[in-house]
Amino acid sequence: MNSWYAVYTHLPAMLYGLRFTFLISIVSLALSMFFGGIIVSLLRSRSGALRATGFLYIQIFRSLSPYVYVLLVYFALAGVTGWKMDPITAAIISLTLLNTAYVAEIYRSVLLTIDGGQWEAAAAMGLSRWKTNSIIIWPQALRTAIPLLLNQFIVILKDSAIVGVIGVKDIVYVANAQASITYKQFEYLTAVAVIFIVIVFILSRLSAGLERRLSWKQ
Amino acid sequence: MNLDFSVILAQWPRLLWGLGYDLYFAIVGFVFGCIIGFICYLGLASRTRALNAISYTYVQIVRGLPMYLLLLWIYFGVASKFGLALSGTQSIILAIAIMSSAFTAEIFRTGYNSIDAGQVEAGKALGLSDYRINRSILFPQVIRIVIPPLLNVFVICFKASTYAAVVAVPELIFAAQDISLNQYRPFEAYISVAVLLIATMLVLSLVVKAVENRLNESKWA
Repeated sequence: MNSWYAVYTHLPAMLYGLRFTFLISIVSLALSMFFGGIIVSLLRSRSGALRATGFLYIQIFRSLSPYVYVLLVYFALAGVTGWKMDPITAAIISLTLLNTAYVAEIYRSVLLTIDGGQWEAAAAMGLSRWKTNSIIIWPQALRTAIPLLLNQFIVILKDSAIVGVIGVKDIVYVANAQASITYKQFEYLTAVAVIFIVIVFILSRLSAGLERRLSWKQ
Repeated sequence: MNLDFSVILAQWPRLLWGLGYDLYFAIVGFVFGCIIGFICYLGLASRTRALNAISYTYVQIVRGLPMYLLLLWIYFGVASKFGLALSGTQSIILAIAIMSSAFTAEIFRTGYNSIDAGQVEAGKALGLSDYRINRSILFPQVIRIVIPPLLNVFVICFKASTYAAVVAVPELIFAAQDISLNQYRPFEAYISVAVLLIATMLVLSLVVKAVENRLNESKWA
């Protein structure tokens, strides 16, 4: 029991590290939602070249693990551009590059659920393409996408555990550093694992609840 | 910025070995993941409530664990507490197996659920045992349904196997880190590794597509 007490006293520091985990995840999700919208517009454009660009982006950028991304962005990109970015920026860029591809796929799948007749109806009413998208299509699509985006947020949150390798003092980093000093790896890492499991469980419950609430009534 | 890929080219056997290691971890981890996942599915589908609860809890726990944390926990945590010092290779394979088992359990569940309950009833009416119903009627159909999603899990396993660098296994990313530190060529090292990984992933996803199409066209009536 004694060995767990050390973890308990260190808990505030670890929970403080959690704020970086959430900061990185939330900002990455927000940026991915924005860039994902751009990628999905490319996929749905009339020009073949733009469609190919969007397709290639998704194929290429979702094939690396977040670990490769943080190394690539923090060491390689920084080295070649000479931009001295701080670890948090590098982490956000990495997770955004990766998740933009996934969010674009989510958008693509929810846009497929929208009946084609709505575009025709909007065209018949004389609405422009921009108006059709912004007041008819996207509000419906985003509503369907909310639970899926929340699931993606869970994935980002879990992926963000890796950012410790470039020196972001997130919860895993803080716990691991303290564990290396005290040789209590098992206790510290188990504590972090429990925190992650609880957060993910709550969020996935929330996502399932939202999915039921937001589903369109037949 | 002048790029010099000759240092990387001089080291290409190491990179290829690294890629081989990654594929090896992915394959072995995936096979174990399928086995654990199937056992988990049996627990979820069993009539015993305790087994249901155990399987459900296991899946929830595994789903909540980041891969990186799971690997650290196996490699450092378990070793420090119980003296069970697994090697880096064993740790990454175990981590991939555990991580993928949550996915495969879910895939087996949806696979079995997609089969009409009437078939089980028909089997019972013929006087077949539960085991025979599963082996001769359900499993041959389920295996065809679950192959494409399982292959997608394999792709996830391959992505996750790059985490092995964390526990100092000489796989692709570890080789890149080594080259970038010794030759001070981080950009060339990491970009080469990224290109190798992306190319492998593209080939893997083409294979998945091909298998999917093959299964679709040879579907029984």
